[in-house]
Order: sequence, then C-alpha cells, then structure tokens
Amino acid sequence: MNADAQINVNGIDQAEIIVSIPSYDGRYDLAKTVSVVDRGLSEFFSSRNSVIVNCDYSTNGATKDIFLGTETRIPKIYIGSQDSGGKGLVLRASLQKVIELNTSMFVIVEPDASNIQPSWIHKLLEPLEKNFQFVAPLYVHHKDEDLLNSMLIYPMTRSLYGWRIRKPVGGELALRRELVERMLEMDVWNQYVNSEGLAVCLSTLAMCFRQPMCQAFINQPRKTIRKEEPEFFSYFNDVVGTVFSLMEPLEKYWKRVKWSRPTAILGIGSEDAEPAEEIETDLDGLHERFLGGFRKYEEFWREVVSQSTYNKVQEIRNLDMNHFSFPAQTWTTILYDFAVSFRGKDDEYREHLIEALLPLFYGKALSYVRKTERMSVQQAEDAIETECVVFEENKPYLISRWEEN
Amino acid sequence: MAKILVVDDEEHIRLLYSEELSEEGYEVITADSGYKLLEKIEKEKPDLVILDIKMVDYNGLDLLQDIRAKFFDLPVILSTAYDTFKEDIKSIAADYYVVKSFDLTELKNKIAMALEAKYSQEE
Repeated sequence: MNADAQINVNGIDQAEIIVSIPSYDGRYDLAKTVSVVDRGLSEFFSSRNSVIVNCDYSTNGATKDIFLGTETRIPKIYIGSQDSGGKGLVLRASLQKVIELNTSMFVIVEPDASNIQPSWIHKLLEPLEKNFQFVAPLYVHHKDEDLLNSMLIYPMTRSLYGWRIRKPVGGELALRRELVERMLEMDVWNQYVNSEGLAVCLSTLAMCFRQPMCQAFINQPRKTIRKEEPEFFSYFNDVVGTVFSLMEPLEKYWKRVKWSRPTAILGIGSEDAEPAEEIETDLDGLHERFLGGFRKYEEFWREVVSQSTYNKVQEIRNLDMNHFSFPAQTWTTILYDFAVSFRGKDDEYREHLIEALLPLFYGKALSYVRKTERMSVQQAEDAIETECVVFEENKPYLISRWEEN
Repeated sequence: MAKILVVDDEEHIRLLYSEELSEEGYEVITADSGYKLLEKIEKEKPDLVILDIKMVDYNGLDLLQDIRAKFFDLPVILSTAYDTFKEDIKSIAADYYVVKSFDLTELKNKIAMALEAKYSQEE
C-alpha cells in the first residue's frame, strides 16, 4: 500500500468513529453515499469525533475528486491505491487507521446500495455502544436475492465456524477496535481477501474469536445492481476463494466446532419493513450454464468429488426442468470435497477449481429457485435453514476428508 | 452437570420438564415468569434456558432479545404451543425451538445439540 496516496484533509490524528467507504473508478454514486454517511454521523453521533475514509482502488484515481469535493460536516481522509491491490487491500489500510487514530468503532459502508439511509449508520453503530464487538447487517431481502450467499457462503461459514450470521458477505459491517487489533495480527491476508473477500474474512474471524456479535436488522432491502458475468465470476472467485483459503490458517477453530449458534438481532423497531422488489431469475439460463459445465469440467469433477457424489451429479444432469432438484446432501459433499481439494494447491489449480464449481453452483441455485417458487420469504428461509443443518450434520465427513488429505 | 433454567408460567410444564430433565442428569431450576429474569440468569448462571414464548405477563421473544443482548452465547430453546412465532424475526436469536409435548424426546435432543455446540466453541 502506497502511503503517499493518503490525503488527510483536516489533519485528523484522532477519531472515535471511522466510516470507511471503498470505491472503484466512479462506478457508483460515491458522492451520495458520502453525504448519507455524513448525515448519519451528524444526526446520530454528533457528540462523537468521527471521520469518513474513502478507500479508493481506482486505476485512474477518478473518484478522489468526487470524494474530496463532496461537502461534509464530518472530516475526511482519502486513501488511494494505484498498484495492483484490490478492494480488500485498501480497506485493510483503513483498518490500520483504527490503530493510528485510536478509534473505538469502525464501519465499512459499500457505495453500491442506491437506497442507503442515515439510519443504517445508526443501526450498525448502536450495538457497538452496547459492547457488541461485531455487527453484520440483516436486510429485508427477496428470497432469490444473493443466491451465492444463501446457497454457499452462509451454509459454509455457519457449519465451519458455528455462528449463524445470515449475511457474512457484507455489504456493511461494524467492528470495535479490540477486534480489529486481533484481526490485523492474523496471517489471513491473501489475494482473495485482498480483493472482494474482506467482508467474509472479517465475519469469519469474528466468529473464530467468539466475541459478542450480532446482526443489525435494517428494515429495508439493499438495492443494488445484480452482478452479471463476467463480473459475477470474479466476485464468485474472490468470496469462495476466501472461504476455502481461510480453512487452512483457521483449522484449529473450525475443526472443533459442532452444530451452530444463533446471534442476537438488534434494531427491530415497531416500524414496518419495506418490501423487497421482485426479482426475475433466468431459470433457463441457470439450467444451460449447469449443463454447459459438463462439457468443460466433467472429467475434473470426477477427480475432485467422490464417486457416489459424481454419480448423483450425473443423475441431476438427466433431470428435466420440471423435475430439477439438487439435493442438499449432494451439494454439501461437493462443497466439502472442493474445499479439501483447494488445500495446499497452487494459484492456477485453485482458479480452475473455483471456475469448475461455478456450473454446479448454478445447478444448485436453479434447484432452490424452483423449490421455493411458491413459498413465502419465511418459508424459503426455513428451507435454507434445513439445508444448513445438512451441512452441519455432514461436518464429520469434511473433517475425515481433510485429515486424510 | 449442566444447569438448565426453565421459564414457563404453566406449573405442569415446569414440573414435567424438571422431572424428566433431572432424570437425564441435568440440574433444573425454574422461573414462573420473566420477572427479573436477567438478574436470575446473572445469579444462577445456567448453561441453557428453556423459554416459553407466550406467558401471561411476558412475551418470550422480547425476553429472548434481552437475554441475547446481555448473554450473547447463552443457549436458549424456545418452547411453544404453535410454530407461528417463526414469522417474527426475533425468533432467529433462539438456538432451537420445540413445540410443547408430553414426549420430551425432541427437547432432549435439542438440549444436547445446543450444549454440544456451546461447549465445542469454548474448548
């Protein structure tokens, strides 16, 4: 990280609260996000010493002027990076600011939510004042939204580390200083974390450290643009790579954990929740991508997963759309087998491995969307919970495969 | 021996749970309402709480929120006559729930799982 790329406009050397906003090539409305954060801090934490930090990983520094040019009451610090680092790398530089500025509370706010409100800042920070160490968001959501999290990241992190944090992938997060200090000491900062995997990494470490953590209920959906190919694969690669890669350094934490524990939900008020927008999922597209995977990865899958799981995948291949179903047991063992295969391999193999997982993920996503088509959000959540229990029940399989590998 | 706190305003439930869970080797203490529940937990330091959702004077889901805010890793099993409470987002903060029944097999299984999860994280 190039320290010369930091601009501390107001010469701030101490701040109780840091709100860190990552940005990249002006893709989202950074000025709006900065203004909302400014209003949130001014309205709810006016007696606190706060600073807004922009972590800019643009290739051309385009967002610097937008950030510095946005009028705010709260002082600002710009951290730029024009090297090859990704979002996680610059965000980590803002984590370092927690130490430098003797900060007690740290928040990450992503700029891609078009409907962010000042109250979100309040909801994320309030639990930290009640001595929670880590706060993850819990937004109102459509049942088909963020299937990567619902089908893969949430079940995996929950079964591995034993805490039910429904959205470990962010977008917004809040932490106390004590936790940040411990996290910075960990040897986990790899290429996946340094790209899009930072939120998953921070959530995972919070679970490992077993500090008081909670979910902040935000009674609104998080409106953002859905990631499409090829951007989705890049994101998939980073977050899945983060989950798999953290299993090695965090082995002593996850191997001992059995079942899972809930976390507190804070911020549930009397106000009605805003309903999530309808989402149209391209079922045929998911099916085609799943079937397309056989052309490219069939032999590779045979090497990675057990024979019985491979046979099951072949059975699923032959199901038509009306009867399509990807059982939780098969999906669980696939993910566990892939996680074991990831261990100790070089970057090239790992990239190929995650790429080969993608069509199977599309198959699983298709199965879930079809299964929950006529369900309410609550019923779909129950279905996800049931799948998570299958992950937990099969953890001994993961441990035995991990140990024999 | 794990200590279990049963919070229920129905006496026959408290008696049933006390008898059966004591036979399983648990130390069981009871409370007939949510009154000063947090103080009781602070003092008695139970390993697990079984909490009735609908008591005459207290809403178990609100009590659950209070428990979680103060004792973030204390296992809580919700005990209920119906499962409609699941529509309330507050219920997510429970480890498990059981529908009240004279057959306590499910409750005993959930207690074992919740305690196993807690102890495995403490090692």
